[in-house]
Amino acid sequence: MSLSYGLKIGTPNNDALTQAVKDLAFTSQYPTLKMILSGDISVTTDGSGDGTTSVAHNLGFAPAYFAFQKRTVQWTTLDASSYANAYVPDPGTANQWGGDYHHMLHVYTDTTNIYLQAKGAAASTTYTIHYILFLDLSEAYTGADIASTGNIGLKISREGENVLTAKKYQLAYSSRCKSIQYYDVNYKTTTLTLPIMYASPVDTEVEEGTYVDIAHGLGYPPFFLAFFRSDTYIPTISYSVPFLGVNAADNFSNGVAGFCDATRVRLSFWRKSFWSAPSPDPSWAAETITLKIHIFTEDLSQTFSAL
Amino acid sequence: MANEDSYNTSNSDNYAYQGSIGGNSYGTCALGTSTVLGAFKGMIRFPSIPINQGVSVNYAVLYFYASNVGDSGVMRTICYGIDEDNTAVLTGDPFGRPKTSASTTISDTRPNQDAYEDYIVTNQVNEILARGGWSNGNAMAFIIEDNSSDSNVWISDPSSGAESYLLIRVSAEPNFFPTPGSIAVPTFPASVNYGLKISIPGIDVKDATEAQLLLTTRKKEYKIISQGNENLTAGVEKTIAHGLSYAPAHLAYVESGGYRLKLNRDFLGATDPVAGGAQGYIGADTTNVRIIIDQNKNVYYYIFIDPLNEG
Repeated sequence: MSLSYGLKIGTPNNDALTQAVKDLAFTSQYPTLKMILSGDISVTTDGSGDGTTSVAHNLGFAPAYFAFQKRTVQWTTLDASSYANAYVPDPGTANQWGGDYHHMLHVYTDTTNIYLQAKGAAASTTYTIHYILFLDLSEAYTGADIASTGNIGLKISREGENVLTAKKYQLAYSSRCKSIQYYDVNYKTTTLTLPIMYASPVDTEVEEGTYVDIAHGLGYPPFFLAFFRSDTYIPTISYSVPFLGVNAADNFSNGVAGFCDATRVRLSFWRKSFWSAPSPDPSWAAETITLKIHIFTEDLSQTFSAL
Repeated sequence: MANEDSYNTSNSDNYAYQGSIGGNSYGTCALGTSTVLGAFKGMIRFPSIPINQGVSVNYAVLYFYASNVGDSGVMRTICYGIDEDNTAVLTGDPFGRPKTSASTTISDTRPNQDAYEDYIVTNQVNEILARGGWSNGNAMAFIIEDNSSDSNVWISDPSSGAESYLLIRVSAEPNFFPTPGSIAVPTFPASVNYGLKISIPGIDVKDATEAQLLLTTRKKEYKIISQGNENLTAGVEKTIAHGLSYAPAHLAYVESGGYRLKLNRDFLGATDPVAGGAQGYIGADTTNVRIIIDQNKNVYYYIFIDPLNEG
């Protein structure tokens, strides 16, 4: 329900009083993610490809976060070129642009730290991630507040909370933290289509793929979020990227992956089919995915701290 | 799919072999050579091939099933097509029927029992399809002659199992790597002197660069419409109604081993360093946010008012 109090700011040339809430530039009616810390973590693996390192946040709760692996990316199946200083989202989940070990780099938080742990990755190799931590929860929590550094700035509490006594993680907005924002023009939609594919006794492993490069015009590697919806694979649901589906029973895999650098956000769509005797020939119809991409103005090559 | 199909034949009239010592036999097809029956000529027929006259197929493979096998060793054979418009069932004495000029010669270790010997018969099939009298739905057959296999190296397939088959891909492969797409650099909105702008401490908000701003209403941000903790059961999709008429942006973290890990999480069977590590996915449709994980775990979710059906 729309409220008649609080702070509401429309986008240029739109009446904030009548503009849809989802289109407002800002509204105190709904909280936002409040970035409190960002930076890099590196880990150098041992001879087994293992290693752990962490950075303290001491928030007292496990905070929400995003993580990107920083690396030179190359996936020759789709593109012979390599791209230095690229950022690949979500270590711990398969993303072909992140190399063979991206899914073996695990990022997680607890009440005191954010961790980067390599398990079974390449031996004696240094991996780096860029993390973004929020003053927002990733677990149910009602505990103590974090230490405050003064009563300056703008602070907006959630409905029903006294702004003077609300705990900081309960705030709707705090100018102590940085907002993760995007320009409307960098909210993109596009489609990728792959043709019918079939593995056979002659071509026992068939793969196909394509990608789209979205020029963001920011001049630095930006934080981005992407979602996709397939016209054939559960067509009503939008999933976040990266995504990898492995259908072992039908000898079929598909995935949507991506990365960004200072020029582009690249998103790819890939499918692979296997054949093994005496199974029937797995054939897969042409498939189109619709991608929705928010490219934010947060620079992944920079650090931030409000702690 | 229409472009590729396989064809079986279970009728006993579609199997036959001739041993150089033992003579003709029907209802089974045998390949190779036997110390008892001699060198084999095996025939197998596939009725009702639904391909038009004159079509040149991309490839065709005859998969011959080794239901029974002789001794181990090398099996050497030559496979021809039967060069007829609509070859009849394999009764009488079919071994003298005309053969295609195209053939496939194989020298291969005898397949294990229940495995397959495969012959690429693209040229044979195209030679038959090119015949002026061929019609869609006609039958085609193949004869596989021994070519000095090792002693008593043979395989056979009775008609009962219908395990042998002919695979035909009609058209060439599609382009599996379509030309990548691109979206041009956007035009950003001009800077304006109204709205709300907050800079980092110590920086004059009027002079702050974009990187020095904590918030500006020149841009948008995700707005949280719902957040909370849910206890999920392994393999059971949790639906959380969001009350919007569109699929919204979303975010979730799964509890595992005392830590919190962002979804989607799928580490492909690699070792999970977090005790009891969980994997799962989050998605959204126009009614619900949907979360599924592989263990009984807590998940903390965010639903944003920002839609995924615009832009």
